[in-house]
Amino acid sequence: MKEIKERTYDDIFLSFFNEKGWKPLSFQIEAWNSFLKGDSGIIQVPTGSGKTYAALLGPLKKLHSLKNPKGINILFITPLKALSRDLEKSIKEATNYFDKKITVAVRNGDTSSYEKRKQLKNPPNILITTPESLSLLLAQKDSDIFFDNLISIIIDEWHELLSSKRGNQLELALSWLRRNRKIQVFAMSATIGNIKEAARAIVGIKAKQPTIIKSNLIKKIEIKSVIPENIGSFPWSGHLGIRSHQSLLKMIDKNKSTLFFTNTRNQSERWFQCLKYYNSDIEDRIAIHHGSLDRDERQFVEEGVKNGSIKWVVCTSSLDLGVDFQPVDQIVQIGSAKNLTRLIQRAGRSAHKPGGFSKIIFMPTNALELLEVSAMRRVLEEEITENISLPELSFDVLLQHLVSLACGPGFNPIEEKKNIKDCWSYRNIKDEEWNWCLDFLEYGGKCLKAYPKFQKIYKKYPKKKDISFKYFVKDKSIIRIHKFNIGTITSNNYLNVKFLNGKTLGTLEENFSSKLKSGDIFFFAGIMLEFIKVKDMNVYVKKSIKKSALIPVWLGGQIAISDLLSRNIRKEIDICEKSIKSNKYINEEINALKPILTRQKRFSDIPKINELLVEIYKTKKYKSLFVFTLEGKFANEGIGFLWALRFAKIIKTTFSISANDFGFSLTTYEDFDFSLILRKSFNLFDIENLNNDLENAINLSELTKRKFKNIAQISGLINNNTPFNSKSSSQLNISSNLLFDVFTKYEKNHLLIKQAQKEAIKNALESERIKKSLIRISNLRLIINETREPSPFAFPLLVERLTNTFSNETIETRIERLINSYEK
Amino acid sequence: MKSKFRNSITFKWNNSELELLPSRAIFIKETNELLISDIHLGKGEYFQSNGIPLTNYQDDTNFIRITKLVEKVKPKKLVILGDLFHSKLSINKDTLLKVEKLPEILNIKIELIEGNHDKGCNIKNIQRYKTKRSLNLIYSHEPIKPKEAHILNICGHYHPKIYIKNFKTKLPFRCFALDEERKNLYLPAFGDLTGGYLCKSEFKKWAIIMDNSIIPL
Repeated sequence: MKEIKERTYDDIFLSFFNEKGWKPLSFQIEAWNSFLKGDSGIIQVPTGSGKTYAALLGPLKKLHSLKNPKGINILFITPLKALSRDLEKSIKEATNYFDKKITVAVRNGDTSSYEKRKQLKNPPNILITTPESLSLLLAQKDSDIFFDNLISIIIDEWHELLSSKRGNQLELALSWLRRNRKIQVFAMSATIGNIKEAARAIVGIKAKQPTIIKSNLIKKIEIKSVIPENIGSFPWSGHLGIRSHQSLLKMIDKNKSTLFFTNTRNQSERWFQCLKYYNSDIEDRIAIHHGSLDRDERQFVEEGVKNGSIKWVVCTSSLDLGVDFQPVDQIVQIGSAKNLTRLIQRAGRSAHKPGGFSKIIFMPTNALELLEVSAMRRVLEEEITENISLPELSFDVLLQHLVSLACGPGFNPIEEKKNIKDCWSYRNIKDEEWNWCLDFLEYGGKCLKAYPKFQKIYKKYPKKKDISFKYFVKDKSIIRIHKFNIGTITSNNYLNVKFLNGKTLGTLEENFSSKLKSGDIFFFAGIMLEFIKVKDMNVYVKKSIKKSALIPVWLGGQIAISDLLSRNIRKEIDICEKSIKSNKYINEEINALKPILTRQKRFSDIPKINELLVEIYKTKKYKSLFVFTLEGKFANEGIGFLWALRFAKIIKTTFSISANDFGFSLTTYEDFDFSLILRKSFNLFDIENLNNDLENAINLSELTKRKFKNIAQISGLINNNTPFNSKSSSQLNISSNLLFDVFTKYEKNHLLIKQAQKEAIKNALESERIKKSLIRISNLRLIINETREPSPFAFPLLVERLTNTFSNETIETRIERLINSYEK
Repeated sequence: MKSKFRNSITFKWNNSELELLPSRAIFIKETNELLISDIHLGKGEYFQSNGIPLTNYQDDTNFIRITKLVEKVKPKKLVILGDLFHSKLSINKDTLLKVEKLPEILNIKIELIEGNHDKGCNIKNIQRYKTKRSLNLIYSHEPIKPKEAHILNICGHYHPKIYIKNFKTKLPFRCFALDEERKNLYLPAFGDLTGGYLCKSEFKKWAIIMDNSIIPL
């Protein structure tokens, strides 16, 4: 078998590898052959194992053989801007070998507008870009010509895009690009469970079976936890973990290059401050790297790590993906990585050579995370993989895509519907939904009378008597606003942080900057800054010597542990329960947790795998119910909503609901009687009315509105970052809440409102998981304990900051109660 | 427990009595004047012409609310403290006609203090002012600091809003707000399709809970 392969692939690849002193791996050979045969598909390999060349060399050869390679020939799509530079470098190494005339360029949010114009006039053969920048390219008038000679698309880190709407955005762009051309598409992905689905999303529904290429490289991962010296003083909740920094510092080597992965930018700023303070001897060799920092700052850090001048970098997912740092010796993960794919990816940053062995040091931020890591290790040993799925039927992204086309080459609805239906996540779009989308763009909505001045897209017939038409956007200002909105799938409202002399440091969320008053000190990019003023989307600052604890908060830090992980945490708790009983040593994490587990057992119980633990805790003013469903944050939250609704159906009240990966809590007035749970006729676990009840519960909550905000932004209902003069943009300011209220009141069945509900239930609360979970927990033995103090399991829920409210009381009753408690 | 919800609240300024109404208006008995502010007519259409499909039903609701209020309070004069329209670019003939007929239909005098959004909007039958003195009061759209100590400025423009919260719940409401230091009394926005700005904590506030209830905070 191998001999046949070696004869069929081209010598040119071999000689390129020979010159570099490498030997092609079998999956690389397989990928080249597959491409040359004309296939499309997916290459599933760990980071840092030579996947770029596996995907690139085939298309390069084809490009080389083209007679007139005008326009873009190869599109290379990467989820992160930070990856572009490294990709450009390694691609250029190959093109210099094959054909020096081949041009390579990068186009993303960091590219100057001069450079962008140049690219449009004189397109490079290979363009490295992001899904957002690709969408913007589609919105160019002559995008059709621009992509006319496209032969291949390569998508890097596809699994990273899969879980979000950016995946939908790319799918739609792909469907347009391949609609009348023969294009070979290859994506690269980490190991995931549903690889076939991921591959189908790349090639489309109608294409022949995509190829799946797997490598036999298995990276061994060793996880070592930092065990806090005194577990008694170790926090039960929280996400910073700063307090135990000493235990971490003892485990790491100052001379080794180290990446510290944190989950949020806020956390990274705090850890950076802490590490610098306690290691003043190497202070200037510690750096910070996160997505909100300016490009130059990030580049400086990346270079510093490569040339060895920087030893320690505190970073967020900004460095998750393939930025190629050869010499990283140690990896530290601060706080739970929440899913295995991410953990494996991060661990893969060490020993970044094919077939290497990677080690990760885990720094727990609260006691219960020790359980998670213990479960993760067990799962890794059992070699199970996770599924990552694309969101389905995101109408906001579809609307954005259609407007992009209408700004650019225009679209014919009949043809376009076919393209859209070829996308994996839109394969089930119904005709009435498609027609609604067209109505929404052409007339503002179904109800024509309501929108007399509206017209976003209009029909244009090439000739007077033609029946075939295309939709276009006429209004120049709509085109302008739309182009600024394309990036909004990921971003919030961002302002630039600048010194008065104009040097940019990075970006801040508007939310945070709007709270700053002149003279306020805050910590950003690792320096203390004094706030001066906000002007034209810029936050002006100067350096300060004063100290402050104020650190910006960026949204988007919310992730729940995966289904796979939560299943294994349940097992882990069961193992704990047994180990407490038998006093058997399992591993250091569980051993360290013993004092806490013993305490939990004393106050309440440790649930066995066939038990559901419920705790009731009462203070003077409030009563809380804690339910340890062990299903991952969002599903737990969903069950919380559901139970809140079902309780409130019997006794009218207001609940505040908080949830974490372990369970949820319902807090209400002290006179509420939770012993209802025991009533036989009261079926909290009913799944028959699940969807209905969930929908009602969600409608009474803020969650749908929060989801709608993002949808409104993507579909162009609200604008951000519009750099127009303040007057016109202020007249176009409207809050998504107001839109939500108007649409709910005047247009029933508004698809975007429905999508918000669906996202709230399905994507955010994971209704499938809720259903499965309800069935599971209804078969468990119920243990109800009244506790005099919050138990170790309950405490994190009690102090959780992010809460939702559910109420079916009249507004007056609620206010009256609010005011009474406000005065006390 | 005595309920704190009221149908109206009387606020005294020197000898004048200002009645703060939950229908987002102030009634001054002495002069028989009714004050409202920030209606933003045509906002829906302005958005539509910029490619954002906001319905224009809210304008009708606004007209109905004005009519009902005037019928109930029966003032001699209606003073609008600015931003009657959202933008001169979005006034359609229909809306304009309705506004111009309003004095006749309601059978009262209507005055408009010009707001930043009203620039360039031409309306018949409605007298326009930059600011206006009445008793110990001065009306304006944007807040001004009265020169004399006994004068109170009543203004709109900011659409004051407040959050009422306790340990875990948080609800937003429109409110009247008083800046005692600068002597500005802010009216809530009358228009249905208007957002709002949180006001400073040192302001005195009266929150509008529903169409018929208001509470002091």
